[in-house]
Amino acid sequence: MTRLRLITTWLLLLVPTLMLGLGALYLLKSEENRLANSARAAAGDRSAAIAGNLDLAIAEVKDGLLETLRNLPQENPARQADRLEEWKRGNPLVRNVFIWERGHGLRYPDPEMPSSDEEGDFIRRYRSLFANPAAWQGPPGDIAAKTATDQASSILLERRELRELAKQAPASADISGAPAPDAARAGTSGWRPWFADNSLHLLGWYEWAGRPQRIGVEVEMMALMGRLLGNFPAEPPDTETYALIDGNGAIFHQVGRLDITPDSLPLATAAIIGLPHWLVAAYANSPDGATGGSFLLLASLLVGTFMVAILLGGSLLLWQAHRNQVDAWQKTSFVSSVSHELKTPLTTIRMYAELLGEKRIEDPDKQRRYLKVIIRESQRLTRLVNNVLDFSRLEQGRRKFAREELDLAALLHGLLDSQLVRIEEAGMQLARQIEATSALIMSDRDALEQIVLNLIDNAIKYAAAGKLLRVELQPQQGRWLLRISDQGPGIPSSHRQQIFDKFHRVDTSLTARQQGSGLGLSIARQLAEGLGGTLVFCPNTSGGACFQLTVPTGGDA
Amino acid sequence: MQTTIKLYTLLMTLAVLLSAVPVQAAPLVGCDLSLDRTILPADQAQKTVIKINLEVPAIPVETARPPVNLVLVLDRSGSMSGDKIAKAREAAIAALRRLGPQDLFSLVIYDHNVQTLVPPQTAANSEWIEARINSIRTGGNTALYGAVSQGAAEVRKNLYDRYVHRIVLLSDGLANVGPSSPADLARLGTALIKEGISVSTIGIGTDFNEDLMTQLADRSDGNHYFVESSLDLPRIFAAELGDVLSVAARKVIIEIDCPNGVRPLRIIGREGRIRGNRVEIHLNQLYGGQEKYALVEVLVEPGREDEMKTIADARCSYENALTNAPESSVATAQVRFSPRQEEVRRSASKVVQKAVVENEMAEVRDKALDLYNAGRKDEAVQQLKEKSSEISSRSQALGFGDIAQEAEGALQQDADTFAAPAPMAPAEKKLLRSESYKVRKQQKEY
Repeated sequence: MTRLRLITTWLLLLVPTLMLGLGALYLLKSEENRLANSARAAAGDRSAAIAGNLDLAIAEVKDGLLETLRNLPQENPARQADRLEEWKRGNPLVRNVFIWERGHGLRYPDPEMPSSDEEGDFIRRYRSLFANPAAWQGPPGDIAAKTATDQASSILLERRELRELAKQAPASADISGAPAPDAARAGTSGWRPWFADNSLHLLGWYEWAGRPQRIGVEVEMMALMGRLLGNFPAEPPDTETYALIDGNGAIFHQVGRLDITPDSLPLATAAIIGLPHWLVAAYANSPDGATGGSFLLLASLLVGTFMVAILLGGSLLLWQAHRNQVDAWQKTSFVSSVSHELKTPLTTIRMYAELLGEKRIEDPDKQRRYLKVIIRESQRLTRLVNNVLDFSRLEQGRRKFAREELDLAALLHGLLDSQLVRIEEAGMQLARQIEATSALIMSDRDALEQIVLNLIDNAIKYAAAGKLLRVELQPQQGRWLLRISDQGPGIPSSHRQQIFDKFHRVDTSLTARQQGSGLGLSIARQLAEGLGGTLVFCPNTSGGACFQLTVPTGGDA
Repeated sequence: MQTTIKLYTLLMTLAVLLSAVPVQAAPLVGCDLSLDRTILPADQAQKTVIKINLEVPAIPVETARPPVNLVLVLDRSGSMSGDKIAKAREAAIAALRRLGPQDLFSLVIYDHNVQTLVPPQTAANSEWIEARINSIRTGGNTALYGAVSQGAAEVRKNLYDRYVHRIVLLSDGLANVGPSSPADLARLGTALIKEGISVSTIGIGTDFNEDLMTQLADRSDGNHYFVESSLDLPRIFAAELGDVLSVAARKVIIEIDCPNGVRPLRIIGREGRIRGNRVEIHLNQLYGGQEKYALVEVLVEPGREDEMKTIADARCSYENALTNAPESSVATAQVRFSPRQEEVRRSASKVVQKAVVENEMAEVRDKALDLYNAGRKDEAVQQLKEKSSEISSRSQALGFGDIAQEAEGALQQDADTFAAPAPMAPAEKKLLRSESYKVRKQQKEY
């Protein structure tokens, strides 16, 4: 019943704790997801910002280069070529310059006589472009790219407008002259991304209105890109790596400590409008996402610790309550047992004392017998009271042992002699196997006597039917072995663990055949341990109980 | 008394006047043209080689040298660990100590990331810089392009001041993050020289890409060094510093104009442009006490007997690094035509021919190595052999049998190496590249 209640109570503790833990884990998991998502979003934002910066920088460069082209004076082709050449020589962003004529093809550099290897390469790279006027129109991009382009170009357009606004001359200048210079310069211009030699090139051109020539520039991509790398954060967040990925999917540049491999999955990517097919990608440095999984691990550990603490604490309280309950029950049972125990000899003493007091018993033999009974019962009472006293002393740890030199064999003989009458009255035969003539030890006489007395009491109480009480004493490796065995009913194996527990009795009913406090063995063991020895139960092979006491010689104690 | 005062006033006025008149000093860099033959056979079209010599006198120690803006770009990838990085650190510190308080020093280190460890600052701040240098640890990949770009960015912070700009790149491995083809890095070099930034490359060990390193140095007019053992690093740094600290001229442009009847065919050894009758060669810097030259082969139309003909007007313009003033020097080359074979032969210049042969050998070796690397081993050997016989016959014709013999022997040896069944050792390739680089750029022995 108690056990069931205990289990139920414990389950009541366990189930909510587990639910609490699971709930916390669920919340943590979603929190981690949220963190990962926000990290991903942040990485995406940062990539987009980098890509945007790159775009703006590229647009700025393109604008600047076109501006230069637009501002070149219209001259004869040879002078024009010289000017362009001079520009190329001084500007690190200019890789090649050219003059192209509709219907004629490349005018400069001379396709027949390139002035350097690089010019030869340039002519080869763009042969199909220069040969086919239709190729100047770039391939139509897909819709997604287009909208992105529109968005970006609107930003770029705004910037351009702003710049134009800033350059606006005072209004007075406008009154006199028509916007002639602008009109004269009104021409068409454009940019053409060009893929050759497995890499991207940018070609910008300008065409004066009404003239067949186009002057143009090829951007020095390596110089441009080298300068764009500054747009990447110098100190990226510790958990992320940002990379610029070129049109072939190779890493062009990276910041962050991750060693990016082809199977690395980016957290976010952002396209660069100015560089078709190039990407800015953000990677998480650890494979478990942006938080590195450490958040969940740590939080789970914390939740786990809390759960264990709750369970342990709850179980401890429950166990304590259970023990208190058992203690209380045992004490009640003890009090009633002891009262009963005390009452029996008292009743006997009172009865015989009254009989003697009324002087109705004439027979001196009878009188002596009655007195003997009174003495015996009062001795029993004394033993009982001694046990209770000893028990309380032992419980409080106040029992002092007065060690002295004594002869264990002599002590045993004396004790057995004094108890012989009781034993024989109980109908038992005493078999002494005490071979040693003297067994000198340092020990507490009273404690030893009480242990042996308790054991003999038990035997008389419970095993009188066995008719035999055997007491053996033998030396064993510097200590003495005292064995007291009987032929009684023995102790059921289910109780063998608990017989040394205080208040434990095999038969706990008040109507038990034998009275007892459940203290005898408990006290005996505690005394034995107090003396530095042991007291154990050793089952008798021929049935019955057997207790074995080991007593150290105490020479060193 | 009054006359004395008058005389004094007159003298003073004279002195002021004299000092105010700009004295046209002789240009610092002497330009000098020499030909492989000053007398050409008459009545036939002839190929001849013009050697343009740029002679820079050694700068006296007491002269204030131009300040240096030095950026060290150090590879700290995993392969550098151990002795290499230790020696590199040591060499970097030694280089730093040779700089003066007017010089700028910065340090970029890279693995797959690029980091500016020391932003540009005066080299007088050496204690702090040395502590930073000593904190370098190794690990990671090689983002060479990003590192050089970052180094250039550090240079640019002081680009418009009168510094000698120089990036010194040290690497021992293949660039495996970012652009890594020699052509890409060559483009970067081409762009950098336009800003007056030269990149000197130091390849250490046998694992780096020698093509990439030489091309980058070549296009930006820096030096290239190949060191097999890290023990040589301090020496290399000292050599490089020696060059950087003795820069005498900047932004050197050699223009050679040929009159009608003379057509430039090719530039031997160096990179340059030939446009019509004009040849242009750019050098970033000239070092005091060193001679650099360029070789141009021209085709001269047939001339009449005893006719004197100007075949080239050369103009070398540059910025004097000591005074920051633009200067230039000019020279002219003339030939005479003669029908007498003996006279022609006697006019041959051994110095010029030797230079031509050396440079042609360097060129053909580079070309053969390119072919070899592309897996066209037989063509490589073929090229070497053809060039060998061509050089030999030309030298013989000029009467320099010893040069012919020497060249033939060396090229034969190269052909044997290329033809050998075993693949060429990487160290051998690197040695070949760095040697031919030295010849073509007239880099000082290190």
